[in-house]
Amino acid sequence: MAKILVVEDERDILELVEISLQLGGFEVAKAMDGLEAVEKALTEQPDLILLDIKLPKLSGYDVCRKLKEIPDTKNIPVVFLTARGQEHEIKAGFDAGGDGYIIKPFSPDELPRRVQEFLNRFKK
Amino acid sequence: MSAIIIDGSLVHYETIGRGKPLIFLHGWLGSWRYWLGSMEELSPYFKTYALDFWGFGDSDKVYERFTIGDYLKLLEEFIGNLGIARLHLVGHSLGAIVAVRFAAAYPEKVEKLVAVSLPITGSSFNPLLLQKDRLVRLVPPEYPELQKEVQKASPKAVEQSLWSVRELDLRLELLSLKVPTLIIYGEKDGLVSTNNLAAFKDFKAPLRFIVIPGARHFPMLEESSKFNRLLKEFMALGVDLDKLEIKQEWRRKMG
Repeated sequence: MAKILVVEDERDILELVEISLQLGGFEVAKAMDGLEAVEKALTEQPDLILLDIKLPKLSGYDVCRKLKEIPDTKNIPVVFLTARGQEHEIKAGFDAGGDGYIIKPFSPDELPRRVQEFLNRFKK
Repeated sequence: MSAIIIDGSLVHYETIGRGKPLIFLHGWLGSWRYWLGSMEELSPYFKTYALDFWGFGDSDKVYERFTIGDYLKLLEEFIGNLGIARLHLVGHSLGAIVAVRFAAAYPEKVEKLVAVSLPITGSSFNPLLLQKDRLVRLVPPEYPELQKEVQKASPKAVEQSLWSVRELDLRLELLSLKVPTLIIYGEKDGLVSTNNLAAFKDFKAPLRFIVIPGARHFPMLEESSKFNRLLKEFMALGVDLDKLEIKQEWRRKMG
C-alpha cells in the first residue's frame, strides 16, 4: 500500500483529503505546517507528498526546496495542491522543484486517481 | 391519518398534495407535525408524505428499533410498500442523517435531497444538549402543538438513536453524493455545529450549504417563509444549487 504524506494546515480539509485517499486504498501520513512536513517526510518516507502552498512556519515552496536538498527525501515526488484561479502557483511550484500539481476543487474519486497516476509516472 | 405496518410495527404518516412523491423525515423529539407548513407549501407540486419514525409521534414504540440503521430500513420498506420508485427527500437532524445515508446508498432512487440541521460528525453535536429534557427546551415555545409531539417521543428511542450516532461521520457520504443536495442550517443552532463546512469547498460534489441568519435548530419553523421558499425553488422550480439564495416569501395580503 503506497503511503502519501498530506500537508495542509486546515484540519477539516486535511481530514477530507485523508478520507478520500483512504477510500482509494492509500495509507496516509499528515502534517499541518512546513516544519512538520519536512520532519514527517524524513521519518515516514512516504511514496509521494501532497503539499499545500500556504503553510505556517515554512511555505510549501520552501518545504519543497528543502526536501529536494536532503538526500533521504530528494527522490520523493512532490505534488502541489493549487486552487483554481491561482495558476501562477503552478510555475512557482515547478521552480521550487515540485514534480506536479493537482488543481482544487477535486472530486473525491479523482484525487486518488490522480495520485496513482503520479505514482505510476515516478515509479523507479 | 394513515398508517402501514412495516416489519410488524405500525408506521404513522400523513400526506398532502399531488404530483411526484416527496418524503419529509423528522428529527429528535419531532414528528411529522412540524413539517405541516412545508407540506402545504409544496403540495401544489408534490404528493408530500411525512412519517413518524418508530419511537416518535404516533408510530409504534414497542420494539426497540431506534437506530439509524433501523430507520434506513423503515424508509426503504415504506417506499417499497407505497410503490414509490423515485422520490424527493427532506430530512431534519436525525432525519437528515437518515436522508443522506439513504441517498448515498440509493442514488438512483433519490432525485433531490435537502438536509436540514445535519450533524456531519459525532463531534458536531453539542454534548451538553444530548439529553431529552435539554432538547425539549430547544423546541420553539410558540408552537404548543409541537411541545405535545415532543412528549410522545419514547425516551428509549431518543437515547438509542443518539447513541447510534456518537461515532457518526458523514463526510465521505457527502463528498461522494451523486444526488443534488441542499444543506440548510440555522445560524444560531446551539445543537449542531457548522464549523467544518468551508472544507467542502475544495471538493467537487453537487452540494450547497446555506445558513439562514437568525434561525436556530428548527429553521423550518423559526424562518418558515425563507425556508419554504428555498425548498420550493430547489425542489419544485428547478433552480440550480449555485443560484439559490435566501429570499423572503412574498405573500399577497388577503382581504
